[in-house]
Amino acid sequence: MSKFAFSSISDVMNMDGHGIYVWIVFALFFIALSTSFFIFNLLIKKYQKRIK
Amino acid sequence: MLREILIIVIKKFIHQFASPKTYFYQVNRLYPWLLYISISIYISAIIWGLFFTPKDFVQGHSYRIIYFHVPASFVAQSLYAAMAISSAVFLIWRVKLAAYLARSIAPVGAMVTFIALVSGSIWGIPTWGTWWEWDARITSTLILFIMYLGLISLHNSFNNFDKADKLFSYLAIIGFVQIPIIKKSVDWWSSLHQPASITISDKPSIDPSMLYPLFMAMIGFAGLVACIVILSSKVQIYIREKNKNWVKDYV
Amino acid sequence: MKIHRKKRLINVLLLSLLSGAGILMVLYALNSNLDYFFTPSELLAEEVPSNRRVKVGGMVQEGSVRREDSIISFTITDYSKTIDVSYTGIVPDLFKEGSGVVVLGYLNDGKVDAEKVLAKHDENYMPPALQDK
Repeated sequence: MSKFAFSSISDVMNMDGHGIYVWIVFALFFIALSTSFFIFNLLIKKYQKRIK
Repeated sequence: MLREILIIVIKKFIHQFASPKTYFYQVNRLYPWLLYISISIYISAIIWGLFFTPKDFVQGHSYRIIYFHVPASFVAQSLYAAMAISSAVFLIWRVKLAAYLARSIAPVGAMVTFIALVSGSIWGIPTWGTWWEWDARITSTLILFIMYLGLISLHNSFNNFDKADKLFSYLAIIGFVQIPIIKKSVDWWSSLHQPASITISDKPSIDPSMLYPLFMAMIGFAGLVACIVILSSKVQIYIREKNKNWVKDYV
Repeated sequence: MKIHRKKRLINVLLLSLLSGAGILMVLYALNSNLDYFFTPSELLAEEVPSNRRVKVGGMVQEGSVRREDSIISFTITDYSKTIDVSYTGIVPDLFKEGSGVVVLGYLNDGKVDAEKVLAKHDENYMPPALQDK
């Protein structure tokens, strides 16, 4: 494992001006994955209720 | 004698696994393990990739989007392959579970293809200087996304599940030609998208310090998506088998 | 294998074979139309009317980049033919001498007036410390 690539927290956020792109993609994946889990669990509950 | 016993055992095994009930119970047992292992692999891979890898000599820090974009693109194509294989199994052996699986992969595939496209677009802004160009790789991936959506709406437009499954499966198999085209699009035509960095035949053109977290991210992301497919297939089983006794008992 | 299963297997194989062959034929017919850009050699080999938009791609020739005010001019090479480009505007960060570029614009007297300049990078990723090795 290599060492930490940044010198400060603001450096992490900024990433030489590319931080905005990296963090938007990060947020996109976080939201897409978590909503997928949420929606399918919701659907499972919905159909379980219907069977009951 | 031994051969016959073996055949009977294999047949019984396939028969059992192909039953939605066995699948359902097995998957329920597997799911928590798969979920927690995949989450820990994926989170460590992302932390490693975002913070503990050196920046790229050309792209600087913007290359870190690779840890999201490449796993998503890879899984988007693999899911289609899995869907086509399930469809073939359904058409040849008439295994109902295979049809459920194929149908449950479609929405997950659409979601993954969508985030692969969007993350690629965002990556294009700081590197290529554009967020969308009609080059062969981008266009063929967009077609993959549309194919997933088309298959879903086709299946939903039927009242008869059996007819829907058959047509869905035939079209999914026809659409499979798209996958090698996406893979090869960067070699067959001139494109803005660069050729593949990881290939089966050659040494990867990514430095090992950046490659290991990428592999980890691919494994973790694939595991997470497999979990979503499991959830989606449970929804399909609830919809299709709602009148079966074992489902009622389980619920 | 039972007869009806064999029949269905053959059907599925036939279906995938036929669709594969069909798509390959379509792609073969479309082939050059699916190219995203022309190389300078390809472009110079044919007569292109000056009112038609072209996309040219290749490498930015070393030592060819000149900036005057907001106009930037450079030469695209595919290592056999070259073509000159001039462009007004901001080029992407990755635009550099010796690296890949794709320009969109009109061909005038063998020169391209570019509307858009895109940077094309290759498939190599490595840390900055290793690039001199």
